[in-house]
Amino acid sequence: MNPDVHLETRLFELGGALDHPEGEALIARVAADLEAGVLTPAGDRRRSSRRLVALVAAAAVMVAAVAIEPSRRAIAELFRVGRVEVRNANDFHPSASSTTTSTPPGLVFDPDPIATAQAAVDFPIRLPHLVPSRTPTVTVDRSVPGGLVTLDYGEFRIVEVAARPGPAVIAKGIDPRTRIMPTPVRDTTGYWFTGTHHRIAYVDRDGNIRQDTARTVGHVLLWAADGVTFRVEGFHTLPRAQEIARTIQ
Amino acid sequence: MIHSDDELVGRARLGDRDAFCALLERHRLVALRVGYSIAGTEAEDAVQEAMVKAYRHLDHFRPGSPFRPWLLAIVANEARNRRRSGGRRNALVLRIRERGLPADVARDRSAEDAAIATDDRARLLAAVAALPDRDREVVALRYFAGLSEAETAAALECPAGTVKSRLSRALGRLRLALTEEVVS
Repeated sequence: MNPDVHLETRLFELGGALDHPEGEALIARVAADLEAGVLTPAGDRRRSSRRLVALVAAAAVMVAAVAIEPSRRAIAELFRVGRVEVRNANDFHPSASSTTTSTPPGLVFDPDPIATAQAAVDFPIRLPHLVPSRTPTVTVDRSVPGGLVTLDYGEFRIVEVAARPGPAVIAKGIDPRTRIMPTPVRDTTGYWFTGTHHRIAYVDRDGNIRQDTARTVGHVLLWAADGVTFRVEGFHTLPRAQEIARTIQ
Repeated sequence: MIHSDDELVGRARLGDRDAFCALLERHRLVALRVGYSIAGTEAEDAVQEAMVKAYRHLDHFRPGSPFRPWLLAIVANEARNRRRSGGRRNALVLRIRERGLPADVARDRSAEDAAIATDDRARLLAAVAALPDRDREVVALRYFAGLSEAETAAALECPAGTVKSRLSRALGRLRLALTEEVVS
């Protein structure tokens, strides 16, 4: 074999064996950078996401300190949106975390899902107005007090749960790298969670995290309105999540 | 639905950042491979910075031309700057994944063959790491990222003939380094 051809073959092969970083969260960090300071491709000045992340990390630590110190509760709840509480990631058992959706007990699939789901939950299910209209895959979890509905549209998912007064039914685990940005959503304040992948899980009636339901999620827009707590997940950027949020009726 | 790079670039130029992120996800690993070949442990930071710069300069991208070489040119430039700002005093150290070859390459090899192949790759990688920066860049783009010679030329903003001569020089240096090692 031509020695150059042999060497070239070895180089092509070597490229596939390099121990380069995988960069699992790289695109999420780029999206955070763009969101932090870039409005158009023509080039606004941007701020360093690292500085933002550091600020948020410091803020999260302060919030945690303020929230935890005076409390003797076992639960390190930082704040709550509807019936979703935000906790320290330490509350989640590491081995319980999964990047895939776990199937909680009580999950029901139905070929005519919206009406069936509506009959099974204690709150009015809201749907996004999409053009063209699309039918989501609907799952209902009746094991959650009041019921929990997931509308899966493929590229994004909407999770709805009753926002009436009562104990939290979902816990969101964050760490100091998680960025939480208050943002207007319709007529209320929502929260946009970015920075690192964080975890969510259902909470039982005693306030304990159901580790079997824990899963890892990416960016999330969370808000409560009209008696319903909403989560929108699956978008890299806040404007796209807000765009969907605005159409929910 | 799977969108082409052209479609995603078009949407990104209109301000659709999700489309741009989808585009980046498609080229993430090859960008990291090129960044790593040039800047070593600084690769991830370099690629992140390069991707943000790519978005800011999307209006300079020529519609219809391939996106990957354009992106990798920015990655290579950013990785080069990172390496230079580090003072170049330290030799670049590159590593091979512990798990070694992909299964399709490794199949049918005995344990002894696999050990020889691992040692072979390690020596070749050390030789690549020791190349002058410009030679290593052209090797990274052509072989590690799998660009054609024309795309490599576009990425390096130089004539195709220059790429050919640089590759020839780099291959010669690699052959020499490997030969010298065997002799010594």
